[in-house]
Amino acid sequence: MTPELRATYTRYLRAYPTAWREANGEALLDTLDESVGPDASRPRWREVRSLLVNGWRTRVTSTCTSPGAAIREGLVWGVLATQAVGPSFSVVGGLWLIAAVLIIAFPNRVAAVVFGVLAVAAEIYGFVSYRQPIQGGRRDCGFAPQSQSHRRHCHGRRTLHRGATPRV
Amino acid sequence: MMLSDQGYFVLASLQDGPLHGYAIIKKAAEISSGRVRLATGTLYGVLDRLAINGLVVLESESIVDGRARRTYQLTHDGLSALRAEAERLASAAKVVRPRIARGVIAVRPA
Repeated sequence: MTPELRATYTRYLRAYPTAWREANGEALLDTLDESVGPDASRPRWREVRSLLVNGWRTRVTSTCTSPGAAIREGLVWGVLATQAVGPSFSVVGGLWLIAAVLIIAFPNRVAAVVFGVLAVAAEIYGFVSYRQPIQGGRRDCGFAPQSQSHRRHCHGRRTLHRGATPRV
Repeated sequence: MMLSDQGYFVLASLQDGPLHGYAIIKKAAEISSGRVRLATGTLYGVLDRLAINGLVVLESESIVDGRARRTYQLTHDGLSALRAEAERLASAAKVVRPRIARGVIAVRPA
């Protein structure tokens, strides 16, 4: 593969924990190099996907050694995602992340059942909370009223919640 | 340890001696008639799990044509896990095969 392609795959390797990358990164890239051939210049989707999935899986399995630890890890990721995406994401996103962490750390039937239950719960919560504005006024999106985030969150949609002013 | 399909074919590809990463990918595809096509990240994930369970070990590490080349080897535990899985698959196949040989035909729904 071309040096540019190697650099691209090296970026995707960041999905792995640093210690793993330092121990195995070069060997993995050299194997990848052999398998895609000397002239390859574009990344293959299945290789990229396998790096991202296995990298995250390695991260999760190196910290999650019991279901309790997996749930803790899921909560931490849920909180981080909430910070990044906004408060309305918190419950749905948190449940999804706990489920995702569990299924990656414990890929067996138990994890699959937990994933299914949490996914359905998250879907129902998302559906109900989107359709029903809170009684007696507008539903608080959680962002500061004058902020750019609030305007984008509440006034960027076609359907407005009760009490919201249409975008000018 | 339950062997996954991928784990089974990685172990099977090491039966005849140690192999390096890319050789395992090729051999696994060959002996599974192209069914198990391992992406590189997946191969290293499978090898990690097999090594943690003591079924394979890193045999040697060398530089060939400027590439880091690691060869992996089956352990005794790895060989017995592979054989146990092969027995399990064979006995599962036995439930179906004799019927095919006797020419039992499934009844079509009306």
